[in-house]
Amino acid sequence: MNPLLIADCVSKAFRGRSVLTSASLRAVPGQLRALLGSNGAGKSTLIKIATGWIRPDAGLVSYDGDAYASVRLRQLAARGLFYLPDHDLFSSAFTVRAQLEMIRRRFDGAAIAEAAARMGVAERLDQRPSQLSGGELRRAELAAILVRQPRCLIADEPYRGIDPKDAEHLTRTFRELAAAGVAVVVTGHEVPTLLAAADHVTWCTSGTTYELGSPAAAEQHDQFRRDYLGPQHHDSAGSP
Amino acid sequence: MFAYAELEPVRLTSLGSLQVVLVTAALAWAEMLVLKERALIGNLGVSRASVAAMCAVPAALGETVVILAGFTQ
Repeated sequence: MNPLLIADCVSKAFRGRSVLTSASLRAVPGQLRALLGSNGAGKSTLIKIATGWIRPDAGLVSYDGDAYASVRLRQLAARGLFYLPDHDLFSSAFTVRAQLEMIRRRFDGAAIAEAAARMGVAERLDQRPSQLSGGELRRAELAAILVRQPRCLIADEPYRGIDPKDAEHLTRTFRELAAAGVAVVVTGHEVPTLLAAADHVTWCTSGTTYELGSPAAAEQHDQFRRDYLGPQHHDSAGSP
Repeated sequence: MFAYAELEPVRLTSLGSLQVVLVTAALAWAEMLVLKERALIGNLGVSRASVAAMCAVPAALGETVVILAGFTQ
């Protein structure tokens, strides 16, 4: 299937320090893609460029066949993209219910009560985000995604700071979205979780990206094993 | 502030009113950042012009009322 979102050959430098030299990212309908890489490799920068959060110094972003030299999140969001940032999604000024209602009204989205119940945050809807625990907040954000019903979901380090039970919830939701035809891209450092869940692995390193294919193929990639996974990693077949 | 500046609030000049609107809009923008609303606004697909209008229009309306009140005194 053709990619819905493509960030192609993008580069970005901050105050003269090059973070990305020529990196690419693809989001394909029906696939859960994992973007892996060490701290500081440029994963978040690539995600932010692909979603229009920041502008690249060079390169193109294409969405649903339309190429943009400079694109904004609002343009892509209006066409079905949802960006789950590595920081707060929700405003601290309103209750979770009020913010889900904004999304529902804006995009004629799904029922809030159903989405909240599915994510186990129905009892928390009338509280502000600051009153929720890290795991509850992440599940409330997942409820926002279910209400939005996006065509493409880009999630930046969604597993950070949540317990294993919430992480399982998160993975299940991402898998269900991909199975429903949504193009999902997730970054993170939770290698076993992401390799078990993903359909495809992209490795971000030294300012560029490598498409490694399936998690099994990624685990067989010598440089990826040596430079990222490390000698202690055992692949899904259990062999070192 | 008006007292310190020895200004009468309802008799501001046009430039003064414009400055009030700009400062208020800047504060509204800053509040939006403090409340961490950028991601939500972006995901809602709200245009930059709409955000700017949301920040500036209330102050502009308020200043208009103040100017009109000044004329009628």
